[in-house]
Amino acid sequence: MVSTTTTSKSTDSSKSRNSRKEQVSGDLECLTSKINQLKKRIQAERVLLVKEKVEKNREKLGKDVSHLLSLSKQRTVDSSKENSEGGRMLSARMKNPACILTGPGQILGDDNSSTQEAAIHISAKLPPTERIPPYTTWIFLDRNQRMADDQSVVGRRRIYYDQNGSEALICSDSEEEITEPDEEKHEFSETENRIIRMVSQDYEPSEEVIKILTQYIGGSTSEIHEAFITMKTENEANELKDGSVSADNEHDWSISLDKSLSASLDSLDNLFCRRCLVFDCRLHGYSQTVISPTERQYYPLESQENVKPCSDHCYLQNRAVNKHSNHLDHVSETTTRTSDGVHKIQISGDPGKRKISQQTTTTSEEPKHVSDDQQESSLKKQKRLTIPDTVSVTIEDTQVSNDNVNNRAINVDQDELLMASNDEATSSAVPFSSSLSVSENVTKYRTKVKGPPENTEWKPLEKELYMKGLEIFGRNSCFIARNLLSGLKTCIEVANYMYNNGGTSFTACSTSDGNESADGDPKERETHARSRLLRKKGRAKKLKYSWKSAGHPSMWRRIADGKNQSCKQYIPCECKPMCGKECPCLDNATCCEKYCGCSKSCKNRFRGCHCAKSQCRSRQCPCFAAGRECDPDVCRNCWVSCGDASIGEPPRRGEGQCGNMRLLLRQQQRILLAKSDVAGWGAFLKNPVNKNDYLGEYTGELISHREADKRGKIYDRANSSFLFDLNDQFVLDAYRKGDKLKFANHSSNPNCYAKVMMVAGDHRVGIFAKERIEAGEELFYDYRYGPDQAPVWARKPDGSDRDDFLVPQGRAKKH
Amino acid sequence: MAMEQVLAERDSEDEVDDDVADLEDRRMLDDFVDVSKDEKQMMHLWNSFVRKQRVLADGHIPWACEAFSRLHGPDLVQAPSVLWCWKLFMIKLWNHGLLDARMLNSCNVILEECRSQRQNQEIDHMNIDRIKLGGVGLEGARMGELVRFLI
Repeated sequence: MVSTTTTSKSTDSSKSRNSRKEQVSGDLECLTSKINQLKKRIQAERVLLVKEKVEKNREKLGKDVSHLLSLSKQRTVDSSKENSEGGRMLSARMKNPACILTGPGQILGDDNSSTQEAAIHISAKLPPTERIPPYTTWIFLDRNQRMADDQSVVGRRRIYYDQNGSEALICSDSEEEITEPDEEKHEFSETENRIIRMVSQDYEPSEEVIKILTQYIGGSTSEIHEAFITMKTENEANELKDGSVSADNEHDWSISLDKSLSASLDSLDNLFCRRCLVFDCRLHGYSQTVISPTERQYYPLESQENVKPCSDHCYLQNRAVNKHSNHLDHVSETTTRTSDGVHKIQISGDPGKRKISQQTTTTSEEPKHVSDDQQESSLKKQKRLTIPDTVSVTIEDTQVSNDNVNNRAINVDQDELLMASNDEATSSAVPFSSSLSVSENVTKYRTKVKGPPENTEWKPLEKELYMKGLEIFGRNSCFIARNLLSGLKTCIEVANYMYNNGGTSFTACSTSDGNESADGDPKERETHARSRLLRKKGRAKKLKYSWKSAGHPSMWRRIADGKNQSCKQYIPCECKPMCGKECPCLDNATCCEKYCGCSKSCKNRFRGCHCAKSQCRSRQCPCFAAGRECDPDVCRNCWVSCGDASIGEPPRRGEGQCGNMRLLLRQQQRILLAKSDVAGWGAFLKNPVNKNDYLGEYTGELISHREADKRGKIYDRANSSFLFDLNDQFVLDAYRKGDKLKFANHSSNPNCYAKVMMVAGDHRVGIFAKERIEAGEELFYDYRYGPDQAPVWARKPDGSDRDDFLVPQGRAKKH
Repeated sequence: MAMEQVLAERDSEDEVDDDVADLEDRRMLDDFVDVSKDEKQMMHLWNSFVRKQRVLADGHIPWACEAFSRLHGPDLVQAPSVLWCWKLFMIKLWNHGLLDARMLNSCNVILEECRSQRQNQEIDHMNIDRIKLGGVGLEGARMGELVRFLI
């Protein structure tokens, strides 16, 4: 609430500043009076508001209450009809109860003195029942989830219940710094915000102004200062926005064409998870670095057949049309042109042969002149095969003559084809005459053809899209126009632009193995911080790795030695094209995965398996042996399909009998939850399973080790912990979120085992059966505490089998 | 739970309710302030699609883009801004090496077809209106039949 000050105070303070300039103090007085005015106005508004609210509430209340009022009136009316004390039901009933219940153990008729006839005696004895074990609500997760920052216990005071002392205590760790509780941040109320806003519009954040403000509103000086500055910048931003709203609305869907391509892709890049292929992934978070792979898939050059024109505005279309147009206008054109000394383009009347002979020309003609003539002619074409004056053409006949191509087909490289003509010449296009054989386009032409717009200015975004199109498709204006610039530039315009700017050494090449990329014009491109264009010239060597060679990652040797697989968290590396000594994956002793930037033949990549029929369930499968699940993108015969059959499915690539993709495909067993035979709650199997069958995944929150230590303290006190060590960076905590397998208890002679598997770059915990398990049996696995970490109940008994000493649903850290 | 329920085959455990999942997805996306509405819409459509179709592997993506374009094409061409986001996303997928250029082109061809279909529809509607206005005087339904027959 705004703290009130009297005006006298402020005038005093202004008087005391005698040393200041007159003007300044005048301003400040002005300011204080302004603030006062504003305050008064706000208060007046508030009064009005309150009045309104009271009125509204009264009406509402009236409606609700009227019903009750009428009911009660009715009742008093009714009861007054009866012959009783009228309205004093309660006291009457107290004397004449409808029934009496006596407590347990009381003899009937003991204290009946006050009762009258027809009192019913009921003695109730409740049978003792067992308590159900304590149960905490949890959230189901079908996959691990990273902990959000506000879920952390670090820095928070936690209260736990100490059963020994039967009281609630605050958990205080010695290592934790007891942070001083911050002074509460002052929240600026609406009124205060208004005052600040008004002031910030006209005044600079000088000391005096802030001082005055502190008299009127609460909060520390620094807070006010901050808020002031924020408001000021907001105001300025608002003003700017109003001015520039209509600036870049060129299209009805208002994309800003002044942005760069990477800016347009920015939110997509930020939110897309490359691993999970969705946006806003809860496992991997957002703001992942975009790593583009070394090999990308280009459009194979050989199959670029410009057989059909891509659209109405295709450059091909016009050529065909031109060709079809009969000699009439053509003759007129040629005559005009020859008269001007320009060599004409001969298009033979015979549609079969499309020989375009072009000669280098020098012209004395002005482009304008030509265009005038053209405009005068009654029949206009969109495009002419004119020879722009300033350009000299070199002809290559090799690709031009096609006898086997139909009338409209042109299979030329656009480099050699002159399509560019002047803008003026192409600006006005009148619907075609009926002599055209392109009848199917006629109606469409009438409505759609406006000719290439006068304005062929290329915005930055369009240019970048064009460059991207070159990367993807090479010099093919049809594809570029359709896929990248649809709605922005027509095929013709792209062809123009390509011609005009295409004199560089750019060659679109996609070699058959796609190792090489097009070296775009690097100067034209922005160099992003995350540059994906570090390419070597020349072909990358294809490294050969045989199955048995030493090309397998060094990790594999360790497995063969019997040691455990890597327990480090995988992070995609960005080495291009090959991982060198500084590769983080190599440092960490993790394998590179398909998400890394390195080439597919990187030495550090896991090569997957080639198992044909074995179902990948034995140590013969390299994936299985390495504690990894098979990867449908890497392993040769382990394919999975997708799609729910309503819209078909991708082409099959194999039979898909792999049994080593259980976690990926979520092929778990049904788990039931019931009171455990040994302690608390337990997990049970519904259907029988065989040895080494996959039962399910132990999911939970992914937390850091530090966080786990903190949480563990409380869990241990309660003797119930759901923490599971995953790798060097993360611990799974299933206390708040998880699935039913969190209820599986510990046993030193268990029927299941837990195994950390690497699935598509993620470590996940799978629970497997150690032996055959029948339906309805409870599940146990060894929590594998370190010797000095185990709670009492988990300590291995010396010699005797004491499974039944297990205790409440407890776990502490498991390894 | 009753014993019969327990023993029954029907399994509601970790059954993902599509509507709830969609709602949650939208809510999660709405939390972002610097993402435009159209981008959010496109992201939501994609997320929903991936979840329902269980797109898991990199090798699924080309098929997924094509199926998505077919499935949502008619709606996308009616919302050019969302369509633009989808096209940008496909370019992004190419950047990642998940989508090949051929499939990218095919998807755009599909979208073009959707667009021309829609335009044809509009022309049809316009023509129908014109005939109506022309005062032939037939009833609406019969008009429709007549027009269909003519066109």
